[in-house]
Order: sequence, then structure tokens, then C-alpha cells
Amino acid sequence: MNRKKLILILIVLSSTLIISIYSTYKRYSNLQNTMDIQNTIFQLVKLKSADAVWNYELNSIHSDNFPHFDRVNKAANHYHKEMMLFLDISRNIKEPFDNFTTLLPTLSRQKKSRMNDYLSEVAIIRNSLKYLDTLLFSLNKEAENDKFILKFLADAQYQLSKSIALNQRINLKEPNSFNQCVHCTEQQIKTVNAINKHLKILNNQIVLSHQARDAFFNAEHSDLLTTLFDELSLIYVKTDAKHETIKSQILTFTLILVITLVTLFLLFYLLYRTIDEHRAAGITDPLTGLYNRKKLIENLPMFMASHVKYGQKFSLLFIDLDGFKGVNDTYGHDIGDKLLQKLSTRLTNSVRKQDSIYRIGGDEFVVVVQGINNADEAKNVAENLLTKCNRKYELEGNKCIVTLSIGISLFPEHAVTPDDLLKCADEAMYYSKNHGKDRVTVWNKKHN
Amino acid sequence: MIYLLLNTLINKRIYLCFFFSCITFSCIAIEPIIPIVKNPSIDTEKFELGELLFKDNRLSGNQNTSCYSCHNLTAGGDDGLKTSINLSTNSPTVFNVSKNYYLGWLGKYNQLKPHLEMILNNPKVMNIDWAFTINALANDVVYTKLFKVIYKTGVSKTNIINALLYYEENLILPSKFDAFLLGDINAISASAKKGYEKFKDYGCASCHQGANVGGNVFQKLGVINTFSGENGNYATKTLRVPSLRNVAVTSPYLHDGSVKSLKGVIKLMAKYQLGQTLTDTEVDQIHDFLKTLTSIIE
Ligand code: HEC
Ligand code: HEC
Repeated sequence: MNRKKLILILIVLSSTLIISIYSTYKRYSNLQNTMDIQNTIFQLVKLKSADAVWNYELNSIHSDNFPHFDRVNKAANHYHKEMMLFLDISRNIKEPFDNFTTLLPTLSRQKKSRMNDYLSEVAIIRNSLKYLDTLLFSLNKEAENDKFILKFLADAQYQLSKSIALNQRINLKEPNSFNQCVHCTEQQIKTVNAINKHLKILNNQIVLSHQARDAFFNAEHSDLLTTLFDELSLIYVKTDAKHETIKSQILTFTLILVITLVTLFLLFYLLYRTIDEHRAAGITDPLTGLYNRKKLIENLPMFMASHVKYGQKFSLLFIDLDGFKGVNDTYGHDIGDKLLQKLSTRLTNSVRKQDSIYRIGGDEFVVVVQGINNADEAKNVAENLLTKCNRKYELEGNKCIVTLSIGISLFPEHAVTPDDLLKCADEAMYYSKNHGKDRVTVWNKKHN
Repeated sequence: MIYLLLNTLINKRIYLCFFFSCITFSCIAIEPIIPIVKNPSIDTEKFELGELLFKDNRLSGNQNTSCYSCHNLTAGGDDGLKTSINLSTNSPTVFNVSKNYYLGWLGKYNQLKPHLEMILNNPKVMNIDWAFTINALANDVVYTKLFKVIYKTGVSKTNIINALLYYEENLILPSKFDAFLLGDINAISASAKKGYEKFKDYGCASCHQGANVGGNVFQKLGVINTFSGENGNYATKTLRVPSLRNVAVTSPYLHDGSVKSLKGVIKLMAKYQLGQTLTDTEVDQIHDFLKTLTSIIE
């Protein structure tokens, strides 16, 4: 009985454990995958380096004789590719991270269009410079002996150097400018005007290019990349910690589950073993699970010894079914067997805790009523059995009625050996049978 | 911890990149034009399929237009018209188009794929009826064979686009000038060499430069002197500087096709983009130089 309760508790425990492990696991699988975050971080690293290369290319646009727009554009395209990959990988990372990622394409597009503005300005400055250089060079050669032109040239060259200084953001002193050529020929004046025009354009373009360049290096964009980085590291650390706790939770739960299951298994094994042993020893009746005649013969000397020792008495109730053969004949053996099983449960439920029941023949049972003072106590038990077991049996729609004939023998009053005690009870039972059935008889000398 | 580790990682990568880009470019950085070379490991079957599709009228809604109608592969890759039929702009060459960083006169696209999809779906250009086209090609033995060989999935929208794209991307046709840049000093005439020097000295190369001699920067026409066209109706817009490869065989010129002769454009460019009047010899030399940019077609 106790063992059964334990098994029940263990089963309930293990099922709650399984449920809790499952729910924890669900929480776990709903959590952001740390692999995702890691990959996003790596992609961000790539994006940042692509951005750095882009900035580098733009910075070094002036370091070649001809600015290489291909390289800047290539770097921009590479940045764009990495950005698309980044957006793709990071799309599963939820708030508040996605607020930043939506900002990224906008700022990047801005950066690209500012890059194009800047490149346009650079191209114009470059072609102006090239043009001026070529023109001044040829003019210089033509007017080797013309001091007026040379004076103008010196001024133009100075202006040019000023433009270049401006391009490099160097501040220069401001002298009076010389831009009228009084003694020049018409052709020369035309050239001088062209030069002056270019110088003016150059100055304007350089200012524009500075603006475009400043706009290109947008602090908001580079800050965003850093913010993304910080956010990602934070999310990573947080989720990683969560993962760890959940992992350890699952681990402990599983451990407990395993222990419970092992105990459960052991208990089942033990239960199986005892049943098996009983069967092997041939002391239980396979149909009803009650003890059999062999066990009774085995037990009786022990009962006698213990009752003698404590100065107590015990009774044997010999029970025989009335009309069982009729049931078998009318309804068949299956129903008969079922009836026996039902009867055994009723018997088991009707006797006291310390009493034990044996099936000693087809429709014969013996109940040992222990620890009593007189036959009347045994008779009470027997009469209780009569009332409980005489109620109708519902068996597959058939209503059967069987009654009991019971004979009682008392130890040590009626007999002191097992065989005699059993014989007395048997005789008393026959008395009941022959005197109207469905009754209890306590053994008496005159019965034999 | 992680942060620090990653930061060092970034820095290392950056230095590495700097290092490599310096090495790879330093040798050719002196010249404004970068030579192009054919892709040596081209998948000829796929390329041929792309070319078939490029010439196939069944890719258009009215079934009498193909890419080839406006991009004639035997005549410089354009159509020779002032402006293309139904369109308001001059057709540029498709040769070496993948070397452009921006596509179309306005440079709105910077990748071939979305550009190609736009052309195919554009009602004024191809106006493709996908159901019809796929059905027509799937019933054509030549196509079904080729598609089966190249793609497991056979004729489909994705595969048609993929093959056309492959064709566009690999339609790289170098010129005599590329041979010159790669070291063959006799590949071009003395006059063309002079023209190239002028091209660099006068500053043409500030705008027309890179692998495609253009296609990588935006400019207006008229940066020094305002240009309003020969009959005053040139609309100044910010345009992608066009590639000058094959320019000698893609007359007429400018985005509206308003100038017929190449020498005319050279003079025009000098005047409005540089504020310069070139002598006839200089124009001839630059003209000779531009002619060396014509693709060699075997
Ligand atoms: C109706 C004539 C027409 C047809 C048909 C046509 N194109 Fe074009 N294509 C043009 C014009 C005009 C432009 C310039 C458009 C602009 O930017 O204004 C152009 C531009 C292009 C460009 C960009 C070139 C550059 O230098 O930027 C590519 C690439 C191109 N076409 C490929 C194709 C392909 C591939 C097809 C077939 C699917 C095709 N075209 C069909 C007329 C045409
Ligand atoms: C400021 C930048 C800039 C400079 C400098 C410049 N160009 Fe151009 N070039 C352009 C732009 C922009 C166009 C396109 C104009 C249009 O189509 O309306 C163009 C168009 C051309 C075309 C016509 C291409 C075609 O397919 O229609 C030729 C040829 C040309 N330029 C040659 C030159 C030469 C030669 C020089 C030097 C003398 C030069 N360019 C200098 C920007 C420039």
C-alpha cells in the first residue's frame, strides 16, 4: 500500500518535471540565438572596416596625379554590399536594436550622395588646375621677354598657389592683386581673362568641395556604427547570461528527473520481483491474487505460536459459495472467474486490517481472524462478510446471486493443530450448508 | 572583453586593407585610365545563351524589339539614332557596361540587375510579357537544350534574367589603347599618343577616367561656360559622365544625341567643360586618341 502511494507520487513528480523542462526549453528557444548575435557582430566588424576603407579611399583621392573615382566607387559598393548583408543577418534582433538598423540605410544613402557631390567638385577642381597649369606653362614660354605679361603671370601663379593652399586649408597673406594687363595684345588679354576666370572658379569650387567633404564625413553615421557595436555587445552579454541560467535550470531539472525515474524503475522492479517470487513460490492464486492453501498451511503454525505467546485467540472462517456451480453452468466459466474476482475484492474490503484471506479450493475460502478473545468476535466478522458479499453481482449485464456458508473454528478452544482446526471449521461450514445455507455456524462437538 | 577583442580585429583588418590597396594600385595609379581585360574563365555556353536572349524579339511585348534593336552589337553597341524609339535619350553602348559604376544617363542605377529588370518591364522599352516569353522559349528546342545544360530548373524568369545578366557582365571588349597601357607602346599612333597627353593635360581625364574612361562620377555639361545647346534647347542636368570607350562608333553624341560629329563634341567639351579653344591639330590628336578606345571585335 505504501509502496503504491510512493509510485504515484513519483509519477506525478516526474510528469511535473517534464512539463517544467519543456516550458523552460520553450523559453530558451524563444530567446535570441547567441549565434545570430555573434554573426551580426562579425558582420558589423566587416561593415566597419568597409566603411574605413571607403573613408580611406576618399581621403587619398588627392594623393594621385589623377583622382581615381573607380576606387572610391568600388569601396562604396563594397560598403553597400556589407551593409545589405548586415541588415539581413540582424533582421531577427528585436527592439530597441531595429531602431538603429533602420537609420543605417538612410545615413548610408546620404553618405553616398555626398560622396558623389564631393567627387564632382574634385573633378572640376582637378580639371581647372590642370587647365591652368597647361595654360600658364605655355604662356610662360611665349612671353619670356615681355615683362608686363611676366608680372601678370607671377601674380596668376601666386593666385594659383593660393588656391592650392586653400585646397590644403593653408592660410596665406593677402597682397594687392594684379589682374589687369594694360599693355597686353588683344590675344593676351583674352588669355589673361580666361586665366582669371579659372582662378575664380577654382576658388569657389574649393570652398564647395570643402563643404561636400565635411558633409561626407558625417559624425552621425560614424557614431551610429559605434552605437550599433555597443548595443550588439550589450545584447550579446545579456542573452548569453540568460542562456546560461536557463541551461543550468534545465540541467538541474533533468538531473532530478533522472533520479526520480531511476527510483521509479527500481520500485517497479521490486514490485515485479515480489509478485514474481510469490508466483514462483506458489503461494498466491493467480486468478484472485489471494494466498492459496499452501500458504495457509505454512502460516497456521506461526499464527498458533504467536497467539499462544501473547495469550490470544484466533479463528478460521471456512467459506463456501452457495450456488457457484449454477453460475458456472448458466453463464460459463468466464463469468464464474469474474465472480470469484469480485468476491475476493469484497472479501478483502470487508475484513479487518489484521485478517488474511486464502483461496483454498475452487469456491472455498478461508479467512484467518486474528487477535480475538472469543468466538463471537469472529462471528461478527463472518456476519459482516455475509451481508457484504450477498449483494448482487453485476457481471457483463448478468445479475448473479451467490450466498456464503461459513463455518468458524476457534484456536485454541476447538483444536490445537492446523489440520484439526481446519477440519473443525470445515465441519461447521457443512453444518451451515446443510441447515439452509447463507449462514454462520460456530463449531460444536456435536457437529462431528 | 569581447569589445576590445573585436576592436583590435577591426584595426588589423583596416591596416591589411590599406596595405593591399596600396600594393595593387600603385603600379597603375599614375595613369587616369585603367586597362580592362577579358574574363579568362568565361562560361561560353552561358554567355552564348545570354547573347541569344539579347537578340531575341520574343523578350518584348510587341515581339519586334530586342535589346539588339537599340544596342547593335556589330555597330558599337548602340543604335545610331539621335534618341531611341519611344525614348527621349540617346542609346549608350552596352560594351563594357559592367565597368560603369552608374548606369543610364542620369546614373540612377548602380547595379546591372535592377537596371535589367527595369528595362524588361518598362512599357516603353521591352514591356515583356513573362508568361508569353517563358512559354515561347520553353517550346523552342535550341533554348530548352541550352537552359537544361546550364540550369537544372530549365526555362524560368530567374534563369532568363540570370543569363542576360551574365552576358552583360562579361561583355568586356578591350581596345588597342588597353594594349598600349599594358606596355605595347606601338599599339597606337604617335598622333593618338599626343592626343592622350592633351586629354590628360587639358583636364578631360578629371571627368573621363577610370576603367571605363567615364561612368564613375557626376557632372553637368557647362561647368565653365554655360551650355544651352546649338539651338538653345539643351537642358542641363546632373549627368553621369559617359564612358568614352567606343565613342568613335557611337555617334550621335550627348544624352540628347544633339551633336553628330565626334570632333564637334571634343570642341564643345573643351569650350564648355574647360573654357578652352583647341587648335585643329589638338582636336585631331584627341580624335585619334578617342578612336583607339574602340573595342577590338574578333
Ligand atoms: C528602345 C531601345 C532600347 C532597347 C530595346 C533596349 N535599350 Fe538599353 N538603353 C536604351 C537607352 C535609350 C538607354 C539610355 C537610357 C537613359 O539612361 O536615359 C539604354 C541604356 C542601357 C544600359 C545602360 C548603359 C550605360 O552605359 O549606362 C544598359 C546596360 C542597357 N541599356 C541594356 C539593355 C538590355 C540588356 C536590353 C534588353 C533587355 C536593352 N538595353 C534594351 C535603349 C534601349
Ligand atoms: C567637367 C567634366 C567633364 C570634362 C572636364 C570633360 N567632359 Fe566630356 N562629358 C562630360 C559630360 C557630363 C558629358 C555628357 C554630356 C551630355 O551627354 O549631355 C560628356 C560627354 C562627352 C562626350 C560624348 C560622349 C557620348 O557618348 O555622347 C565626349 C566625346 C566627351 N565628353 C569628350 C571629352 C573630351 C575630349 C574632354 C576634354 C577636352 C572632355 N570630354 C572633358 C563631362 C566632362
